[in-house]
Amino acid sequence: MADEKLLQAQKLYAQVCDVLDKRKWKYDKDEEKFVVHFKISGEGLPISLIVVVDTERTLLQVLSPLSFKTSKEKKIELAVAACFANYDIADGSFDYDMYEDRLHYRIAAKYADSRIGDEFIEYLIDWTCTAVDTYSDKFLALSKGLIDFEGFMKCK
Amino acid sequence: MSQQQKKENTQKAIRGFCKMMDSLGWKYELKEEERLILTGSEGEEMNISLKMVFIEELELITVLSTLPFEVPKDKRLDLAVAVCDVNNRLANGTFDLNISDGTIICRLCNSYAGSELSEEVYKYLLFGACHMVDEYNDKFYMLSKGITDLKGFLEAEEK
Repeated sequence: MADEKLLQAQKLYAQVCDVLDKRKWKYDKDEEKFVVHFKISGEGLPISLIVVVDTERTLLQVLSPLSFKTSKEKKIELAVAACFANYDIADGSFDYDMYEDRLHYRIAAKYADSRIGDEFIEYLIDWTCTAVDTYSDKFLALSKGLIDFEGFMKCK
Repeated sequence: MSQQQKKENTQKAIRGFCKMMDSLGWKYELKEEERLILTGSEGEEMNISLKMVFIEELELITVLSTLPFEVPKDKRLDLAVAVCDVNNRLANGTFDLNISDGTIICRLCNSYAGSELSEEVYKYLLFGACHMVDEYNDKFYMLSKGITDLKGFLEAEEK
Protein backbone atom coordinates (compact mmCIF):
# COMPACT_ATOMS: atom_id res chain seq x y z
CA MET A 1 0.00 0.00 0.00
CA ALA A 2 2.84 2.37 0.92
CA ASP A 3 4.53 1.61 -2.42
CA GLU A 4 1.25 2.19 -4.23
CA LYS A 5 0.87 5.59 -2.54
CA LEU A 6 4.43 6.48 -3.52
CA LEU A 7 3.84 5.50 -7.13
CA GLN A 8 0.67 7.58 -7.27
CA ALA A 9 2.51 10.56 -5.76
CA GLN A 10 5.41 10.24 -8.21
CA LYS A 11 3.03 10.11 -11.15
CA LEU A 12 1.02 13.10 -9.98
CA TYR A 13 4.16 15.11 -9.17
CA ALA A 14 5.45 14.53 -12.71
CA GLN A 15 2.06 15.61 -14.04
CA VAL A 16 2.16 18.83 -11.96
CA CYS A 17 5.59 19.65 -13.41
CA ASP A 18 4.32 18.85 -16.90
CA VAL A 19 1.34 21.23 -16.50
CA LEU A 20 3.70 24.03 -15.41
CA ASP A 21 6.14 23.22 -18.24
CA LYS A 22 3.33 23.46 -20.78
CA ARG A 23 2.58 26.93 -19.44
CA LYS A 24 6.30 27.75 -19.62
CA TRP A 25 6.15 28.77 -15.95
CA LYS A 26 9.45 28.70 -14.08
CA TYR A 27 9.49 26.84 -10.78
CA ASP A 28 11.78 25.34 -8.15
CA LYS A 29 11.50 21.67 -7.28
CA ASP A 30 12.00 19.71 -4.12
CA GLU A 31 11.68 16.28 -5.67
CA GLU A 32 12.23 14.34 -2.45
CA LYS A 33 9.26 16.04 -0.81
CA PHE A 34 7.15 16.23 -4.01
CA VAL A 35 6.95 20.02 -3.73
CA VAL A 36 7.23 22.77 -6.33
CA HIS A 37 7.23 26.48 -5.63
CA PHE A 38 7.05 29.50 -7.86
CA LYS A 39 5.92 33.10 -8.03
CA ILE A 40 3.65 34.85 -10.46
CA SER A 41 2.61 38.47 -10.86
CA GLY A 42 -1.00 39.19 -10.02
CA GLU A 43 -2.93 42.37 -10.74
CA GLY A 44 -2.05 43.45 -7.22
CA LEU A 45 0.66 41.91 -5.06
CA PRO A 46 2.98 39.15 -6.34
CA ILE A 47 1.64 35.64 -5.67
CA SER A 48 3.76 32.83 -4.20
CA LEU A 49 2.53 29.31 -4.81
CA ILE A 50 3.60 26.06 -3.22
CA VAL A 51 2.21 22.88 -4.74
CA VAL A 52 2.52 19.83 -2.50
CA VAL A 53 1.77 16.23 -3.34
CA ASP A 54 1.03 14.87 0.14
CA THR A 55 1.90 11.19 -0.26
CA GLU A 56 0.55 10.07 3.10
CA ARG A 57 -2.82 11.80 2.82
CA THR A 58 -3.01 11.38 -0.98
CA LEU A 59 -3.87 15.07 -1.21
CA LEU A 60 -2.77 17.59 -3.79
CA GLN A 61 -2.44 20.83 -1.88
CA VAL A 62 -1.76 24.34 -3.15
CA LEU A 63 -0.64 26.90 -0.58
CA SER A 64 -0.09 30.58 -1.12
CA PRO A 65 1.46 32.53 1.74
CA LEU A 66 0.55 36.21 1.46
CA SER A 67 3.59 38.40 1.02
CA PHE A 68 3.31 40.49 4.21
CA LYS A 69 3.25 40.07 7.97
CA THR A 70 -0.02 41.10 9.55
CA SER A 71 -0.36 43.67 12.29
CA LYS A 72 -0.75 42.30 15.83
CA GLU A 73 -3.09 45.19 16.64
CA LYS A 74 -5.54 44.14 13.92
CA LYS A 75 -5.95 40.53 15.01
CA ILE A 76 -9.73 40.62 15.54
CA GLU A 77 -10.41 42.56 12.34
CA LEU A 78 -8.26 40.14 10.32
CA ALA A 79 -9.94 37.09 11.87
CA VAL A 80 -13.37 38.49 11.00
CA ALA A 81 -12.17 39.41 7.50
CA ALA A 82 -10.77 35.89 6.95
CA CYS A 83 -14.17 34.46 7.97
CA PHE A 84 -15.92 36.86 5.61
CA ALA A 85 -13.64 35.95 2.70
CA ASN A 86 -13.93 32.22 3.36
CA TYR A 87 -17.71 32.40 3.49
CA ASP A 88 -17.61 34.10 0.10
CA ILE A 89 -15.41 31.66 -1.80
CA ALA A 90 -16.54 28.29 -3.15
CA ASP A 91 -13.30 26.41 -2.57
CA GLY A 92 -10.23 26.75 -0.37
CA SER A 93 -9.71 29.07 2.57
CA PHE A 94 -7.62 31.91 3.89
CA ASP A 95 -5.92 30.58 7.01
CA TYR A 96 -4.85 33.15 9.54
CA ASP A 97 -1.97 32.23 11.84
CA MET A 98 -2.42 34.64 14.72
CA TYR A 99 0.74 33.45 16.44
CA GLU A 100 3.02 34.04 13.46
CA ASP A 101 1.06 37.04 12.10
CA ARG A 102 0.72 35.39 8.71
CA LEU A 103 -2.08 34.68 6.27
CA HIS A 104 -2.03 32.01 3.63
CA TYR A 105 -4.50 30.60 1.17
CA ARG A 106 -4.96 26.83 1.11
CA ILE A 107 -6.81 24.59 -1.32
CA ALA A 108 -6.59 20.82 -1.64
CA ALA A 109 -8.13 17.83 -3.36
CA LYS A 110 -7.80 14.12 -2.71
CA TYR A 111 -6.51 12.04 -5.59
CA ALA A 112 -6.29 8.51 -4.11
CA ASP A 113 -6.74 5.77 -6.75
CA SER A 114 -8.26 8.29 -9.17
CA ARG A 115 -7.62 9.09 -12.81
CA ILE A 116 -6.43 12.68 -12.61
CA GLY A 117 -6.60 15.01 -15.61
CA ASP A 118 -4.47 18.10 -16.12
CA GLU A 119 -7.61 20.21 -15.54
CA PHE A 120 -7.66 19.04 -11.91
CA ILE A 121 -4.18 20.52 -11.34
CA GLU A 122 -4.90 23.64 -13.40
CA TYR A 123 -8.08 24.27 -11.43
CA LEU A 124 -6.29 24.23 -8.06
CA ILE A 125 -3.54 26.55 -9.27
CA ASP A 126 -5.81 28.98 -11.12
CA TRP A 127 -8.38 29.11 -8.31
CA THR A 128 -5.60 29.96 -5.86
CA CYS A 129 -4.31 32.76 -8.09
CA THR A 130 -7.81 34.23 -8.44
CA ALA A 131 -8.62 34.04 -4.71
CA VAL A 132 -5.28 35.53 -3.66
CA ASP A 133 -5.41 38.20 -6.35
CA THR A 134 -8.91 39.18 -5.21
CA TYR A 135 -8.18 39.38 -1.50
CA SER A 136 -4.47 39.89 -0.74
CA ASP A 137 -4.41 43.67 -1.20
CA LYS A 138 -7.61 43.99 0.87
CA PHE A 139 -6.04 42.03 3.73
CA LEU A 140 -2.94 44.24 3.46
CA ALA A 141 -5.02 47.44 3.52
CA LEU A 142 -6.96 46.15 6.54
CA SER A 143 -3.79 45.12 8.33
CA LYS A 144 -2.25 48.56 7.71
CA GLY A 145 -5.37 50.35 8.89
CA LEU A 146 -6.04 51.89 5.47
CA ILE A 147 -9.55 50.40 5.51
CA ASP A 148 -11.77 49.02 8.28
CA PHE A 149 -13.84 45.83 8.16
CA GLU A 150 -16.77 47.66 6.56
CA GLY A 151 -14.37 48.80 3.85
CA PHE A 152 -13.04 45.27 3.46
CA MET A 153 -16.55 43.99 2.81
CA LYS A 154 -17.35 46.76 0.35
CA CYS A 155 -14.22 46.66 -1.80
CA LYS A 156 -14.67 43.04 -2.89
CA MET B 1 -13.65 21.48 -21.48
CA SER B 2 -17.04 21.71 -23.20
CA GLN B 3 -20.25 22.26 -21.27
CA GLN B 4 -21.45 18.84 -22.39
CA GLN B 5 -18.28 17.23 -21.04
CA LYS B 6 -18.70 19.04 -17.73
CA LYS B 7 -22.28 17.82 -17.56
CA GLU B 8 -21.22 14.23 -18.21
CA ASN B 9 -18.43 14.46 -15.63
CA THR B 10 -20.88 15.84 -13.09
CA GLN B 11 -23.38 13.02 -13.72
CA LYS B 12 -20.55 10.53 -13.37
CA ALA B 13 -19.48 12.10 -10.05
CA ILE B 14 -23.06 12.05 -8.71
CA ARG B 15 -23.45 8.39 -9.72
CA GLY B 16 -20.08 7.56 -8.14
CA PHE B 17 -21.02 9.22 -4.88
CA CYS B 18 -24.42 7.49 -4.74
CA LYS B 19 -22.86 4.13 -5.58
CA MET B 20 -20.41 4.53 -2.72
CA MET B 21 -23.26 5.32 -0.28
CA ASP B 22 -25.35 2.43 -1.63
CA SER B 23 -22.46 0.05 -1.00
CA LEU B 24 -22.42 1.21 2.63
CA GLY B 25 -26.20 0.97 2.98
CA TRP B 26 -26.14 4.70 3.74
CA LYS B 27 -29.52 6.44 3.38
CA TYR B 28 -29.73 9.63 1.32
CA GLU B 29 -32.01 11.71 -0.86
CA LEU B 30 -30.85 12.51 -4.37
CA LYS B 31 -32.18 15.67 -6.01
CA GLU B 32 -30.89 15.01 -9.49
CA GLU B 33 -32.05 18.18 -11.20
CA GLU B 34 -30.50 20.32 -8.48
CA ARG B 35 -27.33 18.17 -8.52
CA LEU B 36 -27.69 17.71 -4.79
CA ILE B 37 -27.51 14.84 -2.29
CA LEU B 38 -28.97 15.25 1.18
CA THR B 39 -28.01 12.95 4.00
CA GLY B 40 -27.01 12.90 7.64
CA SER B 41 -25.34 11.00 10.40
CA GLU B 42 -25.53 10.67 14.15
CA GLY B 43 -22.51 12.34 15.72
CA GLU B 44 -21.19 11.58 19.19
CA GLU B 45 -22.53 14.88 20.51
CA MET B 46 -25.02 16.18 17.94
CA ASN B 47 -26.69 14.95 14.77
CA ILE B 48 -24.93 15.90 11.56
CA SER B 49 -26.75 17.05 8.43
CA LEU B 50 -24.84 16.86 5.18
CA LYS B 51 -25.45 18.38 1.77
CA MET B 52 -23.34 17.39 -1.24
CA VAL B 53 -23.51 20.02 -3.94
CA PHE B 54 -22.11 19.24 -7.39
CA ILE B 55 -21.13 22.49 -9.10
CA GLU B 56 -21.11 21.65 -12.80
CA GLU B 57 -19.41 24.83 -13.97
CA LEU B 58 -16.42 24.29 -11.67
CA GLU B 59 -16.58 20.47 -11.71
CA LEU B 60 -16.48 20.62 -7.94
CA ILE B 61 -18.06 18.53 -5.17
CA THR B 62 -18.80 20.60 -2.11
CA VAL B 63 -19.80 18.79 1.07
CA LEU B 64 -21.50 21.21 3.43
CA SER B 65 -22.70 20.72 6.97
CA THR B 66 -24.38 23.55 8.82
CA LEU B 67 -23.79 23.24 12.56
CA PRO B 68 -27.11 22.98 14.46
CA PHE B 69 -26.86 26.26 16.42
CA GLU B 70 -26.40 29.97 15.83
CA VAL B 71 -23.65 31.95 17.46
CA PRO B 72 -25.12 34.87 19.42
CA LYS B 73 -24.01 38.34 18.35
CA ASP B 74 -21.91 38.98 21.45
CA LYS B 75 -19.82 35.84 20.80
CA ARG B 76 -19.19 36.20 17.07
CA LEU B 77 -15.79 37.91 17.41
CA ASP B 78 -14.59 35.14 19.73
CA LEU B 79 -15.89 32.54 17.30
CA ALA B 80 -14.17 34.29 14.37
CA VAL B 81 -10.84 33.93 16.18
CA ALA B 82 -11.60 30.31 17.15
CA VAL B 83 -12.65 29.36 13.61
CA CYS B 84 -9.45 30.90 12.20
CA ASP B 85 -7.38 28.99 14.73
CA VAL B 86 -9.03 25.70 13.76
CA ASN B 87 -8.82 26.34 10.00
CA ASN B 88 -5.12 27.06 10.34
CA ARG B 89 -4.63 23.56 11.75
CA LEU B 90 -6.55 21.68 9.05
CA ALA B 91 -4.86 20.03 6.07
CA ASN B 92 -8.11 20.05 4.11
CA GLY B 93 -11.56 21.54 4.56
CA THR B 94 -12.65 24.62 6.40
CA PHE B 95 -15.20 26.03 8.82
CA ASP B 96 -17.01 29.11 7.54
CA LEU B 97 -18.55 31.53 10.04
CA ASN B 98 -21.21 33.81 8.65
CA ILE B 99 -20.55 36.87 10.74
CA SER B 100 -23.96 38.36 9.81
CA ASP B 101 -26.23 35.56 11.01
CA GLY B 102 -23.95 33.50 13.28
CA THR B 103 -24.15 30.22 11.38
CA ILE B 104 -21.09 28.00 11.02
CA ILE B 105 -20.73 25.70 8.04
CA CYS B 106 -18.21 22.92 7.64
CA ARG B 107 -17.07 22.78 4.01
CA LEU B 108 -15.01 20.05 2.35
CA CYS B 109 -14.51 20.27 -1.43
CA ASN B 110 -12.94 18.15 -4.13
CA SER B 111 -12.40 18.98 -7.76
CA TYR B 112 -13.24 16.36 -10.39
CA ALA B 113 -12.21 18.57 -13.32
CA GLY B 114 -11.20 16.34 -16.24
CA SER B 115 -10.87 13.46 -13.80
CA GLU B 116 -12.55 10.31 -12.59
CA LEU B 117 -12.53 10.08 -8.82
CA SER B 118 -12.29 6.76 -6.99
CA GLU B 119 -14.67 5.35 -4.41
CA GLU B 120 -11.98 6.12 -1.83
CA VAL B 121 -12.24 9.84 -2.55
CA TYR B 122 -16.04 9.81 -2.20
CA LYS B 123 -15.72 7.93 1.10
CA TYR B 124 -13.12 10.38 2.29
CA LEU B 125 -15.45 13.31 1.60
CA LEU B 126 -18.38 11.69 3.41
CA PHE B 127 -16.47 10.53 6.46
CA GLY B 128 -14.05 13.46 6.45
CA ALA B 129 -16.88 15.98 6.76
CA CYS B 130 -18.56 13.90 9.50
CA HIS B 131 -15.27 13.70 11.37
CA MET B 132 -14.63 17.45 11.10
CA VAL B 133 -18.10 18.28 12.42
CA ASP B 134 -17.95 15.68 15.17
CA GLU B 135 -14.56 16.96 16.27
CA TYR B 136 -15.50 20.62 16.50
CA ASN B 137 -19.24 21.18 16.78
CA ASP B 138 -19.42 20.81 20.55
CA LYS B 139 -16.28 22.92 21.04
CA PHE B 140 -17.73 25.77 18.96
CA TYR B 141 -21.08 25.30 20.72
CA MET B 142 -19.58 25.60 24.19
CA LEU B 143 -17.67 28.71 23.18
CA SER B 144 -20.77 30.28 21.68
CA LYS B 145 -22.76 29.54 24.86
CA GLY B 146 -20.02 30.95 27.12
CA ILE B 147 -19.40 27.55 28.74
CA THR B 148 -15.75 27.88 27.67
CA ASP B 149 -13.93 31.12 26.96
CA LEU B 150 -11.69 31.94 23.99
CA LYS B 151 -8.50 31.57 26.01
CA GLY B 152 -9.55 28.08 27.13
CA PHE B 153 -10.54 27.14 23.60
CA LEU B 154 -7.20 28.25 22.12
CA GLU B 155 -5.18 26.58 24.86
CA ALA B 156 -7.05 23.30 24.37
CA GLU B 157 -6.38 23.43 20.62
CA GLU B 158 -2.71 24.18 21.21
CA LYS B 159 -2.28 20.92 23.20
